[in-house]
Amino acid sequence: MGAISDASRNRVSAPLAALTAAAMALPGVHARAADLPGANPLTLYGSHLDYSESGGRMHVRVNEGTATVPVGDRVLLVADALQDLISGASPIFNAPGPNGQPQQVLSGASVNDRRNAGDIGASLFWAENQLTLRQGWSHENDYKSTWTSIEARTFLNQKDTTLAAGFAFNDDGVSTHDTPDDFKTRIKRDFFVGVTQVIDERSLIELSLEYSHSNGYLSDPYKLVFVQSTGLLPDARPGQRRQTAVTGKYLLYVPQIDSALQVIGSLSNDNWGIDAGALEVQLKKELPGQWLINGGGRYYAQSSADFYQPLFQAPPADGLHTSDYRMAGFGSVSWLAGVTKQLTPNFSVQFSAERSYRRYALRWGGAGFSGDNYIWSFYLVTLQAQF
Amino acid sequence: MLGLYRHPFRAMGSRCELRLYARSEQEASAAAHGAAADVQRLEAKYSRYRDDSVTAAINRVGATGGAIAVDDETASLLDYGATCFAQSDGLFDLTSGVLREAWGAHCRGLPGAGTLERLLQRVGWDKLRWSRPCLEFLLPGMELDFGGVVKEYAADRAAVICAEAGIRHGLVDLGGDIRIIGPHPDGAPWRVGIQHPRRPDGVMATLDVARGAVATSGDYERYLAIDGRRYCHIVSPRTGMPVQGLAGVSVLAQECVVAGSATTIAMLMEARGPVWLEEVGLPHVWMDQDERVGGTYGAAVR
Amino acid sequence: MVSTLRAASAGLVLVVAALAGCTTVPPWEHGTLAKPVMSVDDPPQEQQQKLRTYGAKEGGAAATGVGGGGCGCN
Repeated sequence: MGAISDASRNRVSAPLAALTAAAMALPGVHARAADLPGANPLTLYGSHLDYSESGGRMHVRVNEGTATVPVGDRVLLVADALQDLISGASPIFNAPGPNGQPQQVLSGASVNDRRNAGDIGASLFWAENQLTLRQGWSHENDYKSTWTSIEARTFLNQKDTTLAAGFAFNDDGVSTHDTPDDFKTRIKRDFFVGVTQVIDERSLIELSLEYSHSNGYLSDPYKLVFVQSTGLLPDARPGQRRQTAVTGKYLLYVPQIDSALQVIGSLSNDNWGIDAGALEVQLKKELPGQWLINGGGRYYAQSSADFYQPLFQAPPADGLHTSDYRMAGFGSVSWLAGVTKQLTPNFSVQFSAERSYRRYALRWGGAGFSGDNYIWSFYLVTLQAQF
Repeated sequence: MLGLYRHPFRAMGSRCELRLYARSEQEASAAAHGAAADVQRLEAKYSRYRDDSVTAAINRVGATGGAIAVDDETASLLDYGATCFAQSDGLFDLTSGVLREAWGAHCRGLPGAGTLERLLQRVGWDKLRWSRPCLEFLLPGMELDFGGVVKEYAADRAAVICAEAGIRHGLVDLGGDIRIIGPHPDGAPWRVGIQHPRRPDGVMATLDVARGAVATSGDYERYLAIDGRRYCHIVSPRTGMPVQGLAGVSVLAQECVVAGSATTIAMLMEARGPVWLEEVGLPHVWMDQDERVGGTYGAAVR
Repeated sequence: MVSTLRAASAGLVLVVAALAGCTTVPPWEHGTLAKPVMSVDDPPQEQQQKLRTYGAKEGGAAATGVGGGGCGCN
């Protein structure tokens, strides 16, 4: 492969700018942007996910199908449907053990739940811009949700820069198995802005900022807290939550190993006291025969929510209390890997897996206990076909 | 299921080929015929040899002096020619066609100085007035030759016609002037081998091009050998003599017209060619008369 | 919370301004960037599944993403 010297990476010279401008004026020398939906045929995706946790806890299987189809040159329609099958036990509360240390108590009976969800959307393309609207629905016995989102993108600098912004509105209802028709409302508004920038001929970076605002019933109706003085109380979280997150993604092609290095870092915080950060590093490599392999690791850590304790001595004065293991201080390390094979120019298959070790010892800070530690893992098989 | 279809044909005095990835023979054929038809349209429209071409109509007016109004496409080509004239210090000149009389295939020896001087008086973009859509020759006996632009322009148009017919991967090759429609379906770039200017079986450079265009000029395409010296087909509008500088040069650009004019201007700049190419900033490869290779695309392969 | 948001968006604006100084890569040099390994996004369903898993198992906000909503995963 040729090396590109610094001379060719400088800003466009005056002679080149003049020639290019005159060339642009010649009729028929340039086609429209190659990313127009007319360029993409009907595409179908299907996937099967198998997720499980250690210790006889949750097991989830998800089957999902998506179809995208262009309409003319400027519109792309998408429709998606999925079904989750959820079984297994989950933690309800922590009880003090013989020596006073907290111990997790799992739900006795195995839960069998089914969730159906779908969404439809449309993307419009014009000049160097793109606008996407989506509407989705999700339904389980004890949880229903509708959501709407809008996202706008614009390309600048001959597509070297992409600016994106979006907004999503989620309207959820939460009930329980015992009172399935008594839905409590939960609303969430999400905003994001992002920029993707090509740095040079072999690297690029993406930065995004996200802010979300939730209000309503934000507690978990299936969780309880153990209070020394009064016994079990329901999970009670604030009626409002504001979260901010910033994420950076960096991709660098490394010619010495003919692979791409991908680094994703993120930081978040919220008004519940949970600070979190994640760092993921992966290598992706193409192999002869249209194979692509990727693999790497991820480290995540968070601090506990202000109103989290594994066990409570007395009911907190502000009435907020949770012992949910996801609100605790913990960290996790995971490895992840994937293999993709392009079987024919129109058909590809992908297999990916991740295994994550959740550990109290790796926490960012705050309260928690190691009895909450567990391992989750999933594998995912995806097929993609173009027509 | 994308297959690779090749459509060779002859046009513009060269061997041309369309290489298209398509889902079927029919899809490839439809795109290829549309593209080839446009190339042949342009060949006929700007041909020096046809009485009914736009070039012939312009040159009939040029022979006597006078003015003519031209169509939009021709006007854009004249604007492009004017830009090339300005960016090349007057070396790239659409009016230098008359010098062919001295260096044409029929000629048997070096033209005399008097012949050249006489011809040079009728050469010069500054000796006409171009104000869209009106072209006015201020002297009689002038001629326009679009040969330096039309082949590359045709390559660009052919690629766009194929893209608009649904072809996403392929290339257009008009006698070495190449415009990529898209890389191979797996994203791999096209490997373009540039002929060695002195060894017909050799390669000056191998370029990996996924998008854009590559054009090549050299003193080996058409030349006269007189008394053992090589006189190439690119003639300087200042001296009337064929240029002596680079043996060959290839330039990569977004459009084939830009790549093509860059190679032509680099040849016309003679010894200054490599310096000019560095200033322009397009990736390029050149070879000089001593078979030394240089340029900012470092993949020279012997 | 608001000050964090302000600081973060100020940071983003500065970064965008700095990135404006990046070189423009001409299209013919996009060969490497066009490789499948250099794709910024994962294939559609994989991206969503990953984010849903992180969102269900972690308390941090980075996991949620726009437009993914609606599951009561415990």
